[in-house]
Amino acid sequence: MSGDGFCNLVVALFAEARPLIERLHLVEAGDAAPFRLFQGDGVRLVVTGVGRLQAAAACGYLHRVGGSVRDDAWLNVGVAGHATLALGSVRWVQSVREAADSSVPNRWFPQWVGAPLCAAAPLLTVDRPVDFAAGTETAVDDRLPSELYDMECSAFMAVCSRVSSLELVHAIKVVSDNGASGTAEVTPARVTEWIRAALPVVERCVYDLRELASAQRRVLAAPSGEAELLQQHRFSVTQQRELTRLLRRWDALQGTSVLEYVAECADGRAVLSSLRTATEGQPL
Amino acid sequence: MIDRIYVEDDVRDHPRTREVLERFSHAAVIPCERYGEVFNRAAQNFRLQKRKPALILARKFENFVLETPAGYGIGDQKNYYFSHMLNCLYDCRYCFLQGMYRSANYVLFVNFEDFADAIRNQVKADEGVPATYFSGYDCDSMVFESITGFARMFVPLFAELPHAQLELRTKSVQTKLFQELPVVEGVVVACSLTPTETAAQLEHGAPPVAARIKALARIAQLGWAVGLRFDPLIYTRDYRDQYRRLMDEVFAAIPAASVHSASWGALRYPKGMLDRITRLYPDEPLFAGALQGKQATGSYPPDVEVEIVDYVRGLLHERMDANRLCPCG
Repeated sequence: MSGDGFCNLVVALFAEARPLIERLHLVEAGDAAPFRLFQGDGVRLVVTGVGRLQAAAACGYLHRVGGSVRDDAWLNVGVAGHATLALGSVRWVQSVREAADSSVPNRWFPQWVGAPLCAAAPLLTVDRPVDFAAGTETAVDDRLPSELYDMECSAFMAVCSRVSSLELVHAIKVVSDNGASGTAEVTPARVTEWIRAALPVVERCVYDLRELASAQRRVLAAPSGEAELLQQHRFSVTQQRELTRLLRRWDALQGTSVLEYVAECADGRAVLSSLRTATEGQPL
Repeated sequence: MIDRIYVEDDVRDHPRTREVLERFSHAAVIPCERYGEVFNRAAQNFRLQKRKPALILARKFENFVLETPAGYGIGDQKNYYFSHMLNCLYDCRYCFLQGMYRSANYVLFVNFEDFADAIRNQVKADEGVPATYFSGYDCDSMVFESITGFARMFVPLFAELPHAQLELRTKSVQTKLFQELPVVEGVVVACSLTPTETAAQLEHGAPPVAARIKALARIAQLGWAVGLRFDPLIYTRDYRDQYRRLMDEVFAAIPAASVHSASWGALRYPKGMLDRITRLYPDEPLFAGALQGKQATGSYPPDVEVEIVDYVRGLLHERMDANRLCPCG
């Protein structure tokens, strides 16, 4: 894939991570502290642990320490409860709401701009497990009984939507417990199998997100010739900004080698002057 | 193809909502409290979202009818605009909407009746002073007609309002509605026109200019007032040849006598808006060349702007009466 867009996978449990690590050929990076990180071709994965705080910390860690940059894609993959959906059902999360009272906006709407991946469902993030088989779900919220329930996704959305845009931040959930099969019956082995079965959807999502992140990287990439010119000549900080702007204009208008065009320029000021002449005032 | 529809809780049971949802029965219906939760949130990217916009069904509560900016009009003393939709199906690179909103999703305000009431009230308040109501300011008036039924409702409304006229501004080539409805004198069907070569480069997803001219000619033939909108004027190397050929094509198909009005306007943005659009499309030649961001406005250099405006006005003067020519902006 061109453009080198990255997709950051965020999972709570190692049992959820295992099939992703195997399928995407990820290898562990670093010393596993404070979070286990895995990396492969265009994909990073962090294992957060359970709960909102852990998820928020791990996303921040992956962004600052794990090498992620602005407008990388982010995907939260994991299991979730649901009142009625069959075990193993896979859902793209259409909206994320936080059950806890909060003074900050507590609802997010991921914007999927590819072909639909699978059926969609809303999700509610709670701080304590909800056991549908025990009939406790109404204690949390009875407004949307069709919601998925998890314990991390709102924190994932809150952090990742600060470092990327909502077209690039998504979640896919697999139903692990419902009204007929409670949380006590969720085992690591079953979690791994459910995620493994959902891999075709997850892989397609990762592919599409990487393509989107790559497109965004191309838009934001340094213009051609910038690195060379910064090495060849001295530019003040203000001049560097103007150089970037003029080189972008050059790329959009000319499509030829800028380095050849400014080869005779004696200094940075002459480069800028020459580029201004070549771009400003040009008709379409 | 729309495959996500966000529906405000408040309009979930509105008849127009139900009609739209029936048309898109395959789409995921996603409830929201207010459209602002989905539309124009900070962490959204217009360029990425334009790949596959969703539809948002919402209710508008206030500011149904607003005065247009100074200089915007087609001859009447008063000028208003109203927006039953935000955003457009087409992806014209010069469009100001991409700098206005962070979201490319389409917002449809389903409470048309409240817009109609506000227009009636405004007409009454204006006490017989002629006014034009522009419907294609924040969207294309006609492109979603088969889904919204907007024009089918508002065209007959203006038959009841003697001192008010409605402008439907569009790049759509739909003519069916105008064949079906009786002609209403106070309605102008106006088409945005750009030289063919420029349109091919900048008006992504819009019907070809030749098809627009053909559709407009058909609508004029049916007896409707039609408007020609050369807005924005785009500065190209051979803009003189391009605009002369465009005028030749237009007036070969549409008799000048059946044109209600022709208007034109230079390409201009508030400076901040031009900066936002340029950041979204740094690879777009339109924003890399002659457009300058100086002080509060992003525009062509004054001499270029005067030159192209004078030239196009001259072309129109050769073909139409001066009293039907309306500079815009």
